[in-house]
Amino acid sequence: MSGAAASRLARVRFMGQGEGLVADVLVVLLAWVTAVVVAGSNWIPGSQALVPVAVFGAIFVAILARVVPRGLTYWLAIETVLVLVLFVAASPHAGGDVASEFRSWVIRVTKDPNTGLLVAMVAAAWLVVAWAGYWTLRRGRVVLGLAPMALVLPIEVVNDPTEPANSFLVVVWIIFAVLLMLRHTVVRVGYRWGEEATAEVSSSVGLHGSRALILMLVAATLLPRLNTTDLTVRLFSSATPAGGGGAAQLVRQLPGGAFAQTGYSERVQPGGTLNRSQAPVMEVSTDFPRTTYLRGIDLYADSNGAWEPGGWVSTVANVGAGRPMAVDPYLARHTVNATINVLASRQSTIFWPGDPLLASIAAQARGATGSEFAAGGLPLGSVDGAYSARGLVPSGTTYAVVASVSVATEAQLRGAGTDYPPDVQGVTPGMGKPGGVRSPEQAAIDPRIVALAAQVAARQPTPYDQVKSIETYLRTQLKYNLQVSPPPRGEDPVLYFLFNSRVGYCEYFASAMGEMVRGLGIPVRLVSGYGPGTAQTPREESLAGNAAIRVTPSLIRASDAHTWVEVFFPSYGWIPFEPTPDPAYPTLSRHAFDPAVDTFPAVVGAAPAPVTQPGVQPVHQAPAAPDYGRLIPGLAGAAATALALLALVALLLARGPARLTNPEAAWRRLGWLAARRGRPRLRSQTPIEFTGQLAAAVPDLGGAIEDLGRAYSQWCYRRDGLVEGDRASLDRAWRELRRGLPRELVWPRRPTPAG
Amino acid sequence: MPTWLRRGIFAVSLGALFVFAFLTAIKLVFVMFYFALLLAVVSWLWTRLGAAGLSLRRDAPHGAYEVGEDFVELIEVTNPAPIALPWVEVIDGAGIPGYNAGRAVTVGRRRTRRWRTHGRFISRGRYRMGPTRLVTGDPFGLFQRTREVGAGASVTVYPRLVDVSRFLPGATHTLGETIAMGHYIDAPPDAFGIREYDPSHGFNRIHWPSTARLGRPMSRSFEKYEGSDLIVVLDLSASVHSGTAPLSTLEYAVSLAASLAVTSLSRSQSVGLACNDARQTIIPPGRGGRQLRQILDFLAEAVADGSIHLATLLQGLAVSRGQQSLVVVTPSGAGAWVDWLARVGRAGGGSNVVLHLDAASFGGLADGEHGLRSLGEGTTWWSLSANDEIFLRRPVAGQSAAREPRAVAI
Repeated sequence: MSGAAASRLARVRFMGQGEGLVADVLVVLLAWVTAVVVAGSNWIPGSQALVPVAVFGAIFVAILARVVPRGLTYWLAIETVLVLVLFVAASPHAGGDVASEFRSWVIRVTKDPNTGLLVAMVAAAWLVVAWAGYWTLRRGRVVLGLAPMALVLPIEVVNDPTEPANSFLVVVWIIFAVLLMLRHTVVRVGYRWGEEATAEVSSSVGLHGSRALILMLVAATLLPRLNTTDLTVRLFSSATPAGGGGAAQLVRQLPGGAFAQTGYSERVQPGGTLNRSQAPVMEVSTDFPRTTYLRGIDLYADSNGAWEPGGWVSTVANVGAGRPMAVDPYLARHTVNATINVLASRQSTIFWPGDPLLASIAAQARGATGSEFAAGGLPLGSVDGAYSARGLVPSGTTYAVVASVSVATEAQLRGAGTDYPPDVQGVTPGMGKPGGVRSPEQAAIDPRIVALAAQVAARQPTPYDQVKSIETYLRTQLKYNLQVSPPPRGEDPVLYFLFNSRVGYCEYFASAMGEMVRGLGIPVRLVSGYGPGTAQTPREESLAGNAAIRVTPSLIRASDAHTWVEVFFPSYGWIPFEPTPDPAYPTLSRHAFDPAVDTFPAVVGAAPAPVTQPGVQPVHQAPAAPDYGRLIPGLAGAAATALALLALVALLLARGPARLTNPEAAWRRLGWLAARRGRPRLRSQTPIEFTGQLAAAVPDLGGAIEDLGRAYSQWCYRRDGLVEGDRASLDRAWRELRRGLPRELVWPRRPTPAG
Repeated sequence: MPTWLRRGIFAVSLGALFVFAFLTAIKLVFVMFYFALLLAVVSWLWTRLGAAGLSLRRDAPHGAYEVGEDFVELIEVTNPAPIALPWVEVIDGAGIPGYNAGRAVTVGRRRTRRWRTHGRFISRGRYRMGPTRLVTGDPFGLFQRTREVGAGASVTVYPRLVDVSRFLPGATHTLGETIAMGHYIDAPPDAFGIREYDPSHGFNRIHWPSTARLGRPMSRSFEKYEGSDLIVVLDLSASVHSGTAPLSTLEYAVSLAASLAVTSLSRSQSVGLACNDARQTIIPPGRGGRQLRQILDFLAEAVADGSIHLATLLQGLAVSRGQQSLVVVTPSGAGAWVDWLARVGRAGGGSNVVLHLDAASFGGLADGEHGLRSLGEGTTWWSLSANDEIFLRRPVAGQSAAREPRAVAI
């Protein structure tokens, strides 16, 4: 072997120790967990490729960290392999020759935003892992190495706080990171002192570190949040991209791989995986204590699993501000007043917590004509949605609406019968009475769906029971998930959902229930809008000009976009059903409305509060105005905690070390004490004179102060410094002073007058 | 990356996480923030409290030792804090070659760890058993603190002694015993016998043990020296030495000089030392333990830092030379000093001995013995290599197997 080769081999062997195999494995696991968290958010199609990239990258850098002698070589190797990784991981391969594939890939990167984004994400993942490997495995800087990974986690958590897997993954990541830190401590000691010392230190570091880790994790979990109100809604709402609007905002994952995100849409077409968008859309306050969905548009037309409003909904009638849109001829209805604070820009749709009755702003009612209004009013449920007459509603606008919701009981619905009015029959294909007001949207229901519906609803005596059995079937037999494989091209998504995948989200469930119910000849429609959202802190508010009451506002985000089913029951109107088994959407309540029972918070997750407070005068406040007063307790608590911590630290620092190596620290503190007493040391004073004077001023600690003065004097001026006896005296005096010093510094006692 | 910058980045990250958590009010982000905060605070407190009371005691050797002697040291680390310290590094700053008393240990809460270390002095010099640094920190490696414990007792390690009796010029003949008994400080080292007390003697000459034993006053009598003084001339010129300790001409020359002094003084000969080091150290001839300690103390720390030539030193000595014998210890085999010594010869009345160290056997350039052959009859010279028998009797680290001595006597 040549000398150069031997030298290189020796260097490799030296570096080969690295941080050890355990550290290598931990870095790989950390990279894997981080990549899983990021990939789980489905930022773009194909983002699952991040997981193998991160794992391969971590293994690669672990090897590289050992065998590459110089940092420059390391980073050159990282950059070189990165190009290969990008090409392999971020491009679909059609099987052509490499050159042509590479050329088409480059063109795709420049032309297709999704491919460009995927390339950027893969590159970022690769570099983050390389950074971690370099600083952790080569340089022994664990915190610095893991910082970028740690930064990714809160971003992902904020992006999708409802993802349950994130909590688990974050905890796992923390555990791995701390284990890596512990391992690094052991390795660092081992480098200096060898394997023999490492064995003892390793077990001790592992034991104490693990205990501390568990305690800190438990404490971090149990500590209360310093703030429970999402301030981003108020601080950043105007800058947030819209989550809802008149135009279809939901862009779906098409077979080509387009961007897909949750949001309000006027067309329901079940497709591929959806990402949750946390963009705030609006804040809603109602005086109705039950779960309220926010209606955007009714969907009647069903074509191959896709539901649309239907031709007549395009009919628009202008309705002035505060003018009624419909009359309420049905039984068991309850009028709901609501205030809606618009948080997203580019939104023109007016949302309703039930069937529209009245809006405080000029509207364009959909599904009705001006002549129908002139004829004396439309029946409730005939207005299928409304736009703002002035187009886009600016962010920050507040408007009030009045809507009607059904509070019919199960018994009432069971006895509703099947005497459907003509205009309702007209919207249900195959009911045989197409001469209604509206044009029927004929859609053939696949026989397999009809057969399944008949099977599920067999032996159910009433339409309500039939519908309920279908709802129960869907809620219990199929699974809810936002991450689904899109149906094969050309295949009916409802058929694919019911008979193949059996996994889907609200659009799948609502479409499936719509077709199954329609297959039984029962009038049904889908409604696109928003779910109840997240309950906020209760507050006093005046709704629709009424007296102020205590309400629980709900924050509606784009991720709350929802589709549900409404079935028509004679005399009771359109009744909502919830087929989606998402835990956020339980089945709807059917008990009779009773103010004694239906009190806030019937809204999911709301805090208890009375409906009204007698004697409270109407308070007219802008619902969107930030209520910073609610932050005061949290801020005060945080400030108090910080002050207490600072005081504790100051106290510890003031007390000084438990054992003195020399009297310098004690001497410094005697200076503080003297200054606190207003008798600072004079330059002309000797230590003995100074401590004698101070001892007279602080008689409780007089003996200790004089002993410390003597010790300091001996330490400074005697040739041999402190001898054994002086040392013992110093220790005693220091212990005594240390006990009394904080008290004397904070609450100095006056000396008792002699005699 | 400097520490303040890393800590600054950490603090800013923590602040950003807090802002993140406070604005979004998401529980999981708060958990992450709390955990990071707890990690930092717990680590800092762990380190701070743990290091505050940490103490060390070293029961170390002290006094004088000779190269090659073994010793034992007892070390105690005490942690009075109510928290255990998973790692404490005891870093020995004594700097004794081949010896490290430090180690990494775990010290439980309110516990003391003790251990013994065994060492051997392999290099001459003066050492302090310290300072000792105690480094500890939290198990996560975020913080660490160092406490320094001052240097303890000092140890002087004298050069290794070898048998040089055959190199010495004609041994001094003394009357009576050759070695003064008793402690060299308390009893005059030159006393060799007792005799009847005479009133002309001072009281300080009374030998009380003999007086007590014999029942009548007895006086000490002092020896008369018939031999000449011995001056050991040690060449400490920086330019002549080669090799690396312990296998260096300097170490061997110092060892020879120390051995010559010890042997001659043990014969009650008056011994002095002259060196051409940077300070041009001259220790005038003398006898007894104090002289021995003076010479050995110097030799324990002697370094080859001189710039004047050996010839200059010898010329200076010639001025005050009476009955003195010279023993020159040098790795230089030629030069002006050889000429001077050949010319002067026995001019002073004493005899001259040259102990030449063969530089080639120490890894230096061969200086040869040819120059030494020009020395006259008045000078005896010996050329010694690193592997000579006299050096092999007590093994020295790194030395190879023994072979026949190459000493040549003229």
